[in-house]
Amino acid sequence: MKFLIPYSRILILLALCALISFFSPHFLQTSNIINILRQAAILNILGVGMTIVIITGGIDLSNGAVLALSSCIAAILLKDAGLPMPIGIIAALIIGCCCGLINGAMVAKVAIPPFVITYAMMFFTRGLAFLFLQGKIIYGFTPEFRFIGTGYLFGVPMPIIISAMVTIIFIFIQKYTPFGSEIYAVGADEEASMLSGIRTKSVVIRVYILSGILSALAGIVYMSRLNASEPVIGEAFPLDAIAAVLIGGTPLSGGEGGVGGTVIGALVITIIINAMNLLGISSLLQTFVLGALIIIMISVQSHSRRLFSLPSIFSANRNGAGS
Amino acid sequence: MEFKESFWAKTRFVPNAAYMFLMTLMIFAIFSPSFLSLMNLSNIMLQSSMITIVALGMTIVMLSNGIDLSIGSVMSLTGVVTGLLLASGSGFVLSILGGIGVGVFCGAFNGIMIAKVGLAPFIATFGMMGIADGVSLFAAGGETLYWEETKFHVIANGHFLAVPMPVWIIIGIFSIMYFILYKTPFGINIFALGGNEEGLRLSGVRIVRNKIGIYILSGIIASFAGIMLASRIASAHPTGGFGYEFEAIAAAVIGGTTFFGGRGGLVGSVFGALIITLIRNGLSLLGYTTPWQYCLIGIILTVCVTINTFYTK
Repeated sequence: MKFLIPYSRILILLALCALISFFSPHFLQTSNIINILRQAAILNILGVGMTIVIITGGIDLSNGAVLALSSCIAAILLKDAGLPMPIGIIAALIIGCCCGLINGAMVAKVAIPPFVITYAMMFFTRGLAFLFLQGKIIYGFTPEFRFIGTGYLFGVPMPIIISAMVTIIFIFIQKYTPFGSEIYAVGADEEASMLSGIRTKSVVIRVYILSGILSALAGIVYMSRLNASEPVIGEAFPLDAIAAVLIGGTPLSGGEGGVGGTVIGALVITIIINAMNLLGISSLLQTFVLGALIIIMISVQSHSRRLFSLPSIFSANRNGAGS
Repeated sequence: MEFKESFWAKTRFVPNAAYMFLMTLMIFAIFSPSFLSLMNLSNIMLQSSMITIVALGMTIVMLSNGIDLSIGSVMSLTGVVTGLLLASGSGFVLSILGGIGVGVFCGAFNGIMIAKVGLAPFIATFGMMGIADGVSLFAAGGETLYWEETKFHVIANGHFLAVPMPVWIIIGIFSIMYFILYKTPFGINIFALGGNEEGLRLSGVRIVRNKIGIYILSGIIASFAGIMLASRIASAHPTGGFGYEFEAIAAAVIGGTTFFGGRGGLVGSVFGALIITLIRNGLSLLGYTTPWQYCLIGIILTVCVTINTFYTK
């Protein structure tokens, strides 16, 4: 069975699809599959950011709130101020960048546990989003802006193209650039990588900045798809993204895993939620399923290493309270 | 300890949060004339009751180098379960026991996942947060629950000897927690777990059992707070406890408890909880709504963590 382990996630995905299509005939219809891919696209963008943060041994609980804040600010600039589209998008990305910078600086320079500072950042940014929007909803954007979330390029929906591009770029970064290997090195052993000349603090800060920018990008796609922006969007996204990363095979201890697995993780989660809708299971149970999935996945991961005796040279656990 | 100590020498036992509390009190008293009215002060006491209770639980978890992010969701779930039991006419005692059972169950689950399976506390309790949120939303059908039972409302709205019940409850819980933390072997183990887990294990203490105990304690305390919340607003909302874990962490951190375990204490957390309530109440009086309050608490939390971290180094 050992030769199957590298493909286990794809097998799980296929088995899941087969199981659900057995119960619901609508599952394998083209429109439903495109719908799943479109929903998974946004989760995948967030998941990619979460993956690189988790590979360095950190976590980013603020991504849903950063998504909300950046999309709210973009909405204000585009709709209320009437500025052209690029300015709104760039402003959103800058907001994401700033939030990520604060997270990263606090984690790297002050040595605050990542989950604490990103949790505080979550409340801070969501509070700001409420303040900027004053409780109202901004809706009705220009067709050019809506193209990002709802348009088609060569017959493929735009969110899927954007998500695929992000994934390819980050797979390239993690495989073929020095920064990519530095991320793994920092996650595996921060002390050793610092001694071997890697500027570990800078790596950590850059990782959180990238996660912030990706959250903002996901916010733009999400807002364009919804055609509306309000401060409460994306409350469950940290939970979804962490679940996607864990199912994708990146352990919380850092130093292992990768962006490629997260794509499958995002698909699995979207399919599960889609199947719950198709089978008429109450949507109120979604957070229950996600929470349970997270706990099951980590338990399995921490035990499968013993079961299959996979290489476990990376045992550094620097998640603050987790050590 | 010296036999004759001057008054000023004794002040070193007063947590820094106490001075911060007085400072916050003065600042708001200057800016808002209605702040120091008797009505508002007793209101602050009542508002702070839930935060104080959950902050005490969070302090114990944080002292053991853990964290419990599921507190708010356990509060919601407790409220919903108690509400369902009350609405079905199970009576006062059984409903409260059912609510506390929720806390015990969630806490035991957290503890087993952390101590036996070896998950990082924040991720195990984060998963629990999702689970408890989902169950309470589903059990309540996404709606607010009401009930006929009126005896239940005494818990948070009644008076005993002219003092509001929540104050008595806080005094009771604080005394019990103080006794557990400072006078029992279990309490010493909590500090030791945060200080040096490996050393504690080598000296023959059953780590697993102690850790599970800590999270069960935290769950029970969260369910107390959930029952009080439900009793205070005479209804149970499936997301009613949202944000309490954040305020509890902030209260503990303002009170001087670090994220690295072993340092801090209960008295500081009480003042931390009072400071947070003061800030929220004062800002409300000045016309700043919840978003402003969350922004400010987020900033204060970050600043206090930074100070604590540098102080620990």
